[in-house]
Amino acid sequence: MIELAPKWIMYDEFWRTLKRRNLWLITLRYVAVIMLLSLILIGMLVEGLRMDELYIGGLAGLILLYNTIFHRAHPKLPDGYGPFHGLHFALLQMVADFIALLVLIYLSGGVDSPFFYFFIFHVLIGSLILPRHVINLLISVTLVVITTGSVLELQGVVPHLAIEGFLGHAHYTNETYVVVHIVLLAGVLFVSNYLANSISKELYLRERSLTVAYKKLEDAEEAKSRYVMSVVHDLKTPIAAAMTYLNMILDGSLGRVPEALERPLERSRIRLNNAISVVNDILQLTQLKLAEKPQISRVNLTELINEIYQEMRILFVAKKIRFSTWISSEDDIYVEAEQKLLKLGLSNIISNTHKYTEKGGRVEIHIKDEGESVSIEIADSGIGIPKEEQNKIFQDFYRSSLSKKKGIEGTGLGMSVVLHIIRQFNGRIHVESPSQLADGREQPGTAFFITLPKQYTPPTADVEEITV
Amino acid sequence: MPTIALIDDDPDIIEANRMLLEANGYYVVSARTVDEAINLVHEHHPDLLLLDVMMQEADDGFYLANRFRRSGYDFPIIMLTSLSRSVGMHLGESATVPIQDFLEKPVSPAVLLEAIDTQLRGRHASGAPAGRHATDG
Repeated sequence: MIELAPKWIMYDEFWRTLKRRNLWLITLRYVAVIMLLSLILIGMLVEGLRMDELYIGGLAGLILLYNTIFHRAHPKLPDGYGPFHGLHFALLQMVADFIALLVLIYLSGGVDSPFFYFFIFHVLIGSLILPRHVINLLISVTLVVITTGSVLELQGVVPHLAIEGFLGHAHYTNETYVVVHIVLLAGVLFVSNYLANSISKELYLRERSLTVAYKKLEDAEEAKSRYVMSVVHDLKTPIAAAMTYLNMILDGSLGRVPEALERPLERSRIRLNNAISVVNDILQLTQLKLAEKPQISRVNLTELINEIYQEMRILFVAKKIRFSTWISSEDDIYVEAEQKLLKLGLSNIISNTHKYTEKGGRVEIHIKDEGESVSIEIADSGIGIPKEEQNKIFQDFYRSSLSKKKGIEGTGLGMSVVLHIIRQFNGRIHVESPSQLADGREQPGTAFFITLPKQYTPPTADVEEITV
Repeated sequence: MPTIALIDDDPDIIEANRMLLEANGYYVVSARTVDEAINLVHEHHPDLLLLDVMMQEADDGFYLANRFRRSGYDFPIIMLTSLSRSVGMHLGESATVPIQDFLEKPVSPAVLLEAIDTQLRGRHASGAPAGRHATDG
């Protein structure tokens, strides 16, 4: 097999683009068939025009036939590099088209044919896809065939066929015209190939360097996450050791604690506990960022939310918060996701509703089956989130001004974890405040809206994250 | 008096837990490295292992747990980890280690004592021998 792929195009995006362009050629060819059939129709309708309808019709049929073959073969084309790849396929298509075009030119007047312009168009498409030398070879062979054909027609060896009535006076017998025509054609074709190929090569190279840069960034991000994980782990180890002693002292396991020391020791324990929860949140988020493919199973969403509620029920009861769940269908609703991750994400939101809702408030969860997807709305009558901060709460370490003002402890990582998880399953999340559970201006409430596709597909490149 | 082996590379964790367990009537032996741990278990045949997940290497705990099980020891193993629960569980699942419990550091004395008590009582209820027929060397 001819090696058509130079080293600089060996990256995935090139092959995907190439496969699309191959299909594009196939689609265009159907248009060409329609144009040929229209030409025949015009020939029959316009008086004075005469052509070999049978031959041109036959040619249209032939093009349709090979195009159908290409069209059927296209899905079997590999998505990347292989023994027979997209470039070979493109070359086959180009060669077939050049032959068909040569036949059409012969049928429509040789050097007098109006269809020569189509060569420029083909050379441009070809030069975007195939290496320059291959197209140059194709142009050279074409020029040799045209020159030979023209000379044979000029000398009367081959009969001259034409669209009669199209040109008042035929030029194919005029030697000067034939020479000038072929020289100009050669110039236009070679220069077009050179220009289009140079531009497309430059674009491919730039695209590839962007791909490489992106990959490097991803690797750096991963290295950073691993570093953060080990640093944070090292931070936690001494805190955990200190806590072990402190717990024993406060428990009285080491003897009675003097009253004067009780409060300072208890405060130390509380502050160290806060430090540990910060460390745990960071570890969790880092682990999520490092995680590879999630382990997908069919998750019963109704059951999962009930499970989370049961685990936190005592907290809601203690704060006298009314908690209710509404489900749109009688049957259980399922989504394809990793149970543990989804539970972590939903737990984070539900635990926030508890944290930010005052005594006697309300929390409502609505689950709706939307056919292809499921929508989950989690609303509370809590302190709410100011409008200008709503798009920031999903950022790492962001804490709303209200939660800081009210002295509610937190790391600002909970919602980053949620966003990360929802995106893992190609879902969407947004926040609104006030919510429909608003309880006056003091308690506007917050509502989170999540949409999860029922069927799992791996997440696509994160466009939003790149543009930020 | 049941023997508990503490395996952790942090001397403070060992000392604090030793104080707690001895005060509650357990005989405590300890080791700080993988090699020490192997010798310790071979020598003392403990009734229960308190094992740290990450020592010199990130998975030393899993390595040891697997090694003891392959050698025929069937004492209960309680893993202690300072990685947060979801992360630790994740490691546990992927390594499929036959351990009995997973506790996150720092463990409060009450939780630790209860976990130990549950495991030891579970063993006596099922009538299993106290892991003294092992052949690890």
